[in-house]
Amino acid sequence: MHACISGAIHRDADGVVRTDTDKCIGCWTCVMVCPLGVIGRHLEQHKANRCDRCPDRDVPACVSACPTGALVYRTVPDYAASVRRQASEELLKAQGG
Amino acid sequence: MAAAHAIRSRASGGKITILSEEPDPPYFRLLIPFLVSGKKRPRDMAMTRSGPYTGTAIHVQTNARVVSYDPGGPCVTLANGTRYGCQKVLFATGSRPHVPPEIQGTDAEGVFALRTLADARHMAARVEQTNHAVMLGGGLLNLKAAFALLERGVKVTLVVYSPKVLSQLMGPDDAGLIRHALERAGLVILTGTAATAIVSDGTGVTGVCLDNGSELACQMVCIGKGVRPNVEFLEGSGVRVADGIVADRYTGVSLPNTFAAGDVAVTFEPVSGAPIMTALWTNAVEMGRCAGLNMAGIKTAYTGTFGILNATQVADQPFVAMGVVHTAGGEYEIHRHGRANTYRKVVFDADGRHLVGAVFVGDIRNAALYRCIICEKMDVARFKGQIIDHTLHYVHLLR
Repeated sequence: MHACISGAIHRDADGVVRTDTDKCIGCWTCVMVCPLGVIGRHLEQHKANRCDRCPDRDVPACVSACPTGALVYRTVPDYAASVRRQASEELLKAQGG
Repeated sequence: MAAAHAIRSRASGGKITILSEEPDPPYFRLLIPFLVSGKKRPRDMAMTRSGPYTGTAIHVQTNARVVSYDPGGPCVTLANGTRYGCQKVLFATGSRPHVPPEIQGTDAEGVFALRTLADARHMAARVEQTNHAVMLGGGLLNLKAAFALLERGVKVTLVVYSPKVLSQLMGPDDAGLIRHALERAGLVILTGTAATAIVSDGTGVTGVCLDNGSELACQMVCIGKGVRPNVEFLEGSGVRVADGIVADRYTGVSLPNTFAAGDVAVTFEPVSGAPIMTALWTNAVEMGRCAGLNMAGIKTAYTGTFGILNATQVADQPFVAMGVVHTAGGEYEIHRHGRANTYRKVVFDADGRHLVGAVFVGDIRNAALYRCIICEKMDVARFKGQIIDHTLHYVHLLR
């Protein structure tokens, strides 16, 4: 976000990182710094793009489509809490409680 | 700006003042060629409220050129005599274009060293009376300015001292695709040539004399021959300067409560540990953010900067270069792959276990992963094949 030379990358109100297509000049600096390698290039428009978390859907399309439930769409604290809850339930069971 | 916002992300209190000698409020400097091409207006380039620069209570003072720093205050003094007392200070005075003194006539009207929005306005106005512009220097700055001029219908000739274009960012064998892309786009390129003098009359620039004896008629000259750090204001202050302002691993400078970041700072190169000074936006912003955190009392080590860390689009070719790309005279394991429309080079150190540099032309996917591998000095044994084939993916780095 900070590497962008035109200020096109920002975090929106929901905390999702977005690329403003009008400001993007297709310099690819973001491609050069994104440590996850998730920035794509729209070759015809000459703009950078990224996952926008499907703002028009309740649940992103990829999560809905995943046949094994490997993709989980929850906040980190929420997910971590459910893992801890499950762990403590198993511990309780193991202790015969 | 990056530093100020980093401070604000951790400290909502305290006064932050940014002093800039320029008349314009902070802007994205790399966008100024768009002013020359007419594609963007100055307000499209403003930093405030753009991208991550939405912080509040950051006071920016323009037309405020600092001429000295007094550690006794501590305070800085402006050219107009105003003094600002402070508790902590960040020196981020950047760099200015280097105008080679051996070229005569560089003070003529129509000669530009593009650096500021003011320069760009001036250049955009001069386009009206320019049929032909000569660019001295074949680096990225001049290439960007050249394309902006081409878009305005100006004929452009690039005069490059090196035998190859973009010699600062690529080895001699890497430049082929880029050279063809530039020529296809309409740039006339003269390599192995230098300018000796600029001739002018009452209308401004009329031509450039080259060292091969010829003269190019033109109405505009753009000099892109590198930059020099702005350190003069620190003379007599006791701050340690070695070309640039010497910064430690936490962006701290030799006197208490002083910090440096950006083009003006001497930091370290992460792979070799050697001192390095770079004039690159990506590095400047990262170092600025690091300095801001340290100024807010959060001790944060800086990861260092590569000498080369560039991404851009050159004509129809995306281009990324990072780390060690000039391999002559050193011992490296080099893998090159060239096709009609793509080229890449990955450079490993002599033992072949660590990546030290990469160049990508055409296909720049996942470029940042290579940066991480270089910077963190990862042992590449697990994914060396993927690096060489450019099939590397984030998942390869997990484990």
